[in-house]
Amino acid sequence: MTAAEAISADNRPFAIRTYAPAQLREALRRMYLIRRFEEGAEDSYMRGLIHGTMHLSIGQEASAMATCMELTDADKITSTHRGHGHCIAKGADVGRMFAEFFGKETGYCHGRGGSMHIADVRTGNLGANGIVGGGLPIAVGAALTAKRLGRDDVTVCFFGDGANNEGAFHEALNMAAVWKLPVVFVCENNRYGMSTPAAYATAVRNIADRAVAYAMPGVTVDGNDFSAVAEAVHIAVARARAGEGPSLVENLTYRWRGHSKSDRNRYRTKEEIEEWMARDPIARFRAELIAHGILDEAGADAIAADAVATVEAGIAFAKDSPSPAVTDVTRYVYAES
Amino acid sequence: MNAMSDAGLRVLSYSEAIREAMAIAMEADPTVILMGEDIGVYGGAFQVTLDLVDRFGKDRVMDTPISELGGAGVAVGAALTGLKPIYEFQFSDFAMLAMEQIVNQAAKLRYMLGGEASVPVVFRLPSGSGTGAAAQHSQSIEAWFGHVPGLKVLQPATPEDAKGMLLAALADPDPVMIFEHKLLYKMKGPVPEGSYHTPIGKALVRRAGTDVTIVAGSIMVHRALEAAEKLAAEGINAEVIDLRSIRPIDHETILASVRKTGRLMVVYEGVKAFGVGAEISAMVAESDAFDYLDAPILRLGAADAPVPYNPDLERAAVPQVDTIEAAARRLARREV
Amino acid sequence: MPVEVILPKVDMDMTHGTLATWHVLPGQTVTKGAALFDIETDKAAMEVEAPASGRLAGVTAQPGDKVAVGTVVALIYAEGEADAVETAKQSTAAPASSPATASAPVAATAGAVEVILPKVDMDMTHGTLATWHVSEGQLVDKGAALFDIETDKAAMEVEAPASGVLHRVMARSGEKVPVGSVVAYIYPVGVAVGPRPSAQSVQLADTPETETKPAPSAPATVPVIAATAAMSVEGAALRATPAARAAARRAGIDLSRVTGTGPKGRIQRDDVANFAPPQAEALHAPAVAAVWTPEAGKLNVTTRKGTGTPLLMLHGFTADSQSWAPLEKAMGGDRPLIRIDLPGHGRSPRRRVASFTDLARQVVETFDDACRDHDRIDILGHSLGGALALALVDIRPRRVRSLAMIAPAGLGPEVHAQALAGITRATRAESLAPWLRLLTATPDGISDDYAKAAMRLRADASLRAYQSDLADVLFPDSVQPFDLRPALSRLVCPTTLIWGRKDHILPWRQSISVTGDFALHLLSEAGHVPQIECPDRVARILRLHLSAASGN
Repeated sequence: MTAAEAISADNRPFAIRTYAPAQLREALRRMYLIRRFEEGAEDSYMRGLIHGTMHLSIGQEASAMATCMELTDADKITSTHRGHGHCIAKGADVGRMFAEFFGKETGYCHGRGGSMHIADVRTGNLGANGIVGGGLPIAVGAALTAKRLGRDDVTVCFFGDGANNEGAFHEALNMAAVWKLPVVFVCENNRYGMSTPAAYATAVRNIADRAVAYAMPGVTVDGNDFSAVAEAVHIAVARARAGEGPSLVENLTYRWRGHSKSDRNRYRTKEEIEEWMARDPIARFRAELIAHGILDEAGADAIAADAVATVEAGIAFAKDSPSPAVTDVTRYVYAES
Repeated sequence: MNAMSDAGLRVLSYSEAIREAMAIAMEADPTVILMGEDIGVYGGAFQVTLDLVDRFGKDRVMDTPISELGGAGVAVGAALTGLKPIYEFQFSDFAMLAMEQIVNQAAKLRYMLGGEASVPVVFRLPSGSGTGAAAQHSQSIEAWFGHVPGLKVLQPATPEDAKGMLLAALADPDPVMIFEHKLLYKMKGPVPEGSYHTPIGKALVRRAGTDVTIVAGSIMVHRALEAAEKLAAEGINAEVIDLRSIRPIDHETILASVRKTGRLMVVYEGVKAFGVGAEISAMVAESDAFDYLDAPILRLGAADAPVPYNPDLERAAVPQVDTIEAAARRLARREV
Repeated sequence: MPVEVILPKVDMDMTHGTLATWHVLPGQTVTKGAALFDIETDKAAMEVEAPASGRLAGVTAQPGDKVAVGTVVALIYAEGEADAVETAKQSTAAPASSPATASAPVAATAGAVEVILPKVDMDMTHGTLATWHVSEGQLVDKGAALFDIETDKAAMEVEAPASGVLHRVMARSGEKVPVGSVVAYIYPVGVAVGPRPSAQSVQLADTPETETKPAPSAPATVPVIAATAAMSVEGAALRATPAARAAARRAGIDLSRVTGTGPKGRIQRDDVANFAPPQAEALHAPAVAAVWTPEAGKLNVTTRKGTGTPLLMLHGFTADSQSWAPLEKAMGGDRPLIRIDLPGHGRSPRRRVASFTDLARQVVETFDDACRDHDRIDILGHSLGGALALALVDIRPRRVRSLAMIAPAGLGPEVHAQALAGITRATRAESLAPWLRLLTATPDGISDDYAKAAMRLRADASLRAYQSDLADVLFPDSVQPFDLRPALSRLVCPTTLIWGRKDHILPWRQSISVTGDFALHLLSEAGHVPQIECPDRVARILRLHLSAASGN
């Protein structure tokens, strides 16, 4: 059996055969961290510690983490209003994230942005966005910078099923294709734009079908299957790095919680939610890792416990942090000379 | 192209001055790029970028699809990550298609990110009436952007300022919008050689006077100066201030003049209501210069209508030399 | 460990919610995710699910209770933790006491029942006790109207919490009081009213406005002055430009006498400039023209004997030593006092003053003379006296233990020079009053009678002329040409700066743009003369300052 035959005969999932065990364990850790972070944020919100609303991504952890698997700090992402998971997957510190949620000076945006504008420029996260579709042209601009400056970094643009009907989506995809820019459009199709079903609001069956109109590859995958997402994005990132232009990846997934904390859940059935909760991306990935001997139950439990401790420490840090001075309300409007 | 002014200074047109500024910046800094519709071989709708694609190539002088929202957004994203794009809107009216990226993204990113990001993008916007292009290609919407913290909004009135402001805008770490008047593109004037910056946020007294203060911007500066010369023959000595920057606005230069003359008139091409004149009038009324006012403040702006097509109507819709002259005369003669 | 059941935030702007119904009773078991209770907000009602499985215990909120977001309303014990339930119930019951029990009357002393100012609005922190319906010593029945309370939003009646006799009324009608303060007690009939219960006392919302207004009978305690013309004529019907009005104010011209040449008779600046007052006017407005004769002699010093380090006091422009009386009274104590009358003020001779420096030199001379028996002194100065105090400390640093300044001059160029000129030149009470009213935070501090009394003290035209000339020397062109900011930054002695936030004469903001180490007290609702407007508040600060300076 030749080496090539050996590889092709390897029937293990893409992620298992592609990434080192340590990388896979770290991915599981970050997925747990996203889940616990969202739960901690929800709990803090209910205790009145968080001002305003927020959009939780519980149930979408595989999409966030598997997409960021091969990204370095030099690679950029643009994120969405449901962006906590992207931020953590890209390597942000949950303490500073909580501090931002609590409106503290130690937060990523010094308390000016909150949940919907959280960013971590150091790890290449150009920020969540409060405008549906707002990040799409910006991602194309970031990719233009990389191409113009001769760098090989790529930009991953997260957006939801709602954004695919915005004009910005079409303008951005078109320009990325015209200029062959290194950008990967990752649509997290969680089936609802607030309450409106994507199936109702979108003329095509799969959002990835729209890639055809912009002459780029488009693929739809099970967004709760870590390995499936990782493989699709791997191919798209490689294409981008090779200078061959943009791709569109559609991750089919589901948010367990409502659109925001104001959601009264009048548009979904309990049965539908339970059906999707049974496809928990974290449980699936954990089982997969154990099945392939990457770790054992005790190891997985230790990873899960570590996430809980990290989140608790993050909340404590945020609580203890100072608020911005009220007199600084106009600070950061312009550059400080 | 290298004509000399009376004073022996080199003379360029307004559009030549802008082009020279772009070329200087692109020579000096490889991160400066131009984006816009038909700015390549066509040279831009007003020929401002003419020949630049030959000098700097298509990678740096990028024709964009007709996608103002996407194009402006790409410029914002590029600015956010290390380039210095100059994005030309074909007409300032088209900025409305890109309002989202200008107002929600470019203007707010630094603040939303707590100072951790910078968006050094420059938007160029051909603006104003007088070309017979009617309601959707003749507007003066600069005041809209005066309402947006995070933006800087400039209005050059001369070739010298057009060049100096563009170079200053490129050196500025925040988003800057430059409203260029279409009727000024062919106007010639002395322009210094090399690189220099016209300070952002500083108005300029173009004509010193004692009887009435006329604050104007862009082409209205020239109309006000012409009106002032006619009034001088009658012994009325008007002071004309070129506002130059709408955001930030130079309070002190205006207040100092009002303290001197006691009479204020604001002339602008945007619709009179809720415009630049409202802001300046209110600013004076709130200041210590209030006690120096010896007459009501006058605003001369565009009629409360879209810009009309018929040339007589179009002319009547915005302040002209004769209307400025008449209003200033009444103000100076204490008839208001 | 039991799992806490909290009242969750379910709406973006929600701070409180009403617990509408419990679906599970204490002691019953519940499954995670099952409906536990209903919550109602302004906008919506919704079900809250159990956060864990187990036995419900320690319920602290009853149906109908309005509870703050994040409050623990119950606990859920896992199976096996059952034994702990009762204990937990007891320990959590106390902090959980509902608003009803917290506001219930508590016997304060010998059977007396506290009457508190209740919270009647969700976001209420203070309320104004509008009217008492029952007087001190009167009988009242439980449930009868006791007093009215007013908030920003509403007025309502508060009922007596018990029957008995009303005593110890601590909040008067019109006073603003924090929620929960005891405002009186109701004693059972026949119970002796003992010493004032010490448990709680009324905390005023803001330091009191009660002592502000100086009595018209003591006008000497106020700086005094004179403007020329009556400003009251600037009535609503008069059309004049801002510049014309400003010019008339400066020149003391009655605008109603000026003819306007602008549209619809509007008075413009030139109309004021061209205005020639009728001859008769001159009879009433000769003040500026009057002359004064330079005098020689020492500045007048008055002292009060006492024990400890003496306090040297320097009054402001157009005031005198007697203006310190309300503050001295409020401060109490028996420290020695040394007060200097500035030249041409009080009983001091009208000595020629060439400049601020010259004036400071005269004060230092007087200080050397009057304080030669004391190693170190404390200094207090107001306004111009504050600037002089600062200059004195700069010149004699080793002789000064501490410095306190009230609204001092010399910390910036701005000064309301028109007011100073107006005060010095006024020849009649009517023209003096508008300027006097600029000295206090609000104009109602100065009555017409008060202004008349003040004017009588300024009847001497040569006194007015002297002070007017002095104002020109000290504040030429409406600025303070002397700059004591460098002196302030050189100070090493303990220094306190007190300024009214409604000072119309010298801007309090000068205090925050200066460098130097000092304690800064900004008094809300106080004008240029806080020592007269609210002597108790100023005294409190000065007592602390002096006590710190003495090391106590």
